[in-house]
Amino acid sequence: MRKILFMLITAMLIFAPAAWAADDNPIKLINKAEVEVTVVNKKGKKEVKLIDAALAEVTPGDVVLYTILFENTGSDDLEDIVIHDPIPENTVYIGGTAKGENTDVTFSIDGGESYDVPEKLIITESDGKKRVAKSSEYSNIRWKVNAKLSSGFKGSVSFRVKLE
Amino acid sequence: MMKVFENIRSVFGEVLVRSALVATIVISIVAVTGGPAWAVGTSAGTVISNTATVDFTISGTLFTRPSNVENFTVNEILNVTATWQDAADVTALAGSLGNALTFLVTNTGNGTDTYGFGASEVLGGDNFDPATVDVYIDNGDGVFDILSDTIYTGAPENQTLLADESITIFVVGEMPVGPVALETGNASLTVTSQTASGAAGTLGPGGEVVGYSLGTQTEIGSYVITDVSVGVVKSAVITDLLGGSIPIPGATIEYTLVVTATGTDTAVGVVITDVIPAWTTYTSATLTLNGGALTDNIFGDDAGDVGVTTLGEVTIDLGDMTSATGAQTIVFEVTIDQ
Repeated sequence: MRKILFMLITAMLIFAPAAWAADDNPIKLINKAEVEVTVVNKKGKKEVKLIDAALAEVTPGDVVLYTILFENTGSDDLEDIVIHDPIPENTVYIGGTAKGENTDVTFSIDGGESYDVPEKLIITESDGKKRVAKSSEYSNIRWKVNAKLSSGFKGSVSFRVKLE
Repeated sequence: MMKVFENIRSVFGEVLVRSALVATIVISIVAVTGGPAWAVGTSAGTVISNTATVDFTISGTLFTRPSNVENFTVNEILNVTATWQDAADVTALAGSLGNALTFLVTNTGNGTDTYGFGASEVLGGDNFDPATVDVYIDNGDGVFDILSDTIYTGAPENQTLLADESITIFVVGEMPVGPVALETGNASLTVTSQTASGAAGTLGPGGEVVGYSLGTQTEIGSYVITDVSVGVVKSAVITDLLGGSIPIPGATIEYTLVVTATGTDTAVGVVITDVIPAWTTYTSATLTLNGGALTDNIFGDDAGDVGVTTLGEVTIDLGDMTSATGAQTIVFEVTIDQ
């Protein structure tokens, strides 16, 4: 009986699909929020430092920088990488701050149902008039990475919001 | 009979003169002050949470993975504003007490804060300094009343306000005897957060952050001296049924009120009220102003009415008065009840 069970487990290991193996940490995705703090350095000069928002005194009006780091921690190439991030509640996106090397950035104004470039995000007012959405009205950001990410390689994207 | 006499006498002291210069008229103005557009902002203690998601393919198979949940907590920012509410300099007689400047104090931070107050009368930019100034906490009606509002003596009267909550605070001044008409005197209210104050960014004991208002604000209000005063002289002529002048039942009393303004200023909106004495009844159609008859029962058709504006009282609206207006004579008659 014990022997049969052992054989079964072995069989499962052998026949496990490739996806199963890839699932074992193919990517590391770290999201961190930081705020800019002006400090006086040892030379007596003011310098702007980024510190962890969780450790800082963050108050309304402060600007928070979100950085999303991604790293291929598996052995396979990662392709078609797309990163999504909602604009957190009680914050507004600051126009022009979404960055990401070798990425196409698009935005959503419908909670992530659809994405487009800023000039094609149209809001219809209650009186029927149409206008281009303001950056403060964006609900989500999406970055399409235009290259495959080989094992061990990493990248990052970022954006800034203002705390309401 | 003696009772009637007492009532007639007491009435002599009950003529009321109401004027904008005497009464405090509070006009609320929504003051627009500087500072950031977020008047209050996200409440202190709110957790801002964010999770990113990544999609990718490996050999054509789609995977989706979330990031860590990145949280931080909104700290309390300490901000307060004080704005002077009176539409114009508050008029006061030289040497008078109880002159109130009205201020609105608002917690413009994002959490509850407690405030202490102070007043100062030694300020520049004016002609005189008020003799004394005190701070009073309004009872909620927005109108200064020395009996129902609370004098601020220190910490026991500190006021706690929720984010975006406001309170009316009065700076109540005694005028010196020296200044003459149209001279101005300034007084200020200072409100200070009891949590923390100092340079923007100063931290309180619980990580509260001092905001652009520096945790303390000082606002100046002004008095202007007026020399106008409105005097009323009241007299009575009694005619009894026997042709004499004894105040017995059935006798009539004709009251005459002579109202004059003295000084160089204008007394705005002078209103005279007089109570019909107890044990007497107003005699219909006897109310006159400067010899002209006034209707009894209709309010607003002329300058006066009897028992309409206020039950049991004669009310005469004399409007604005200056010394040039001259004496205004009000006459009415009552009969001592049988």
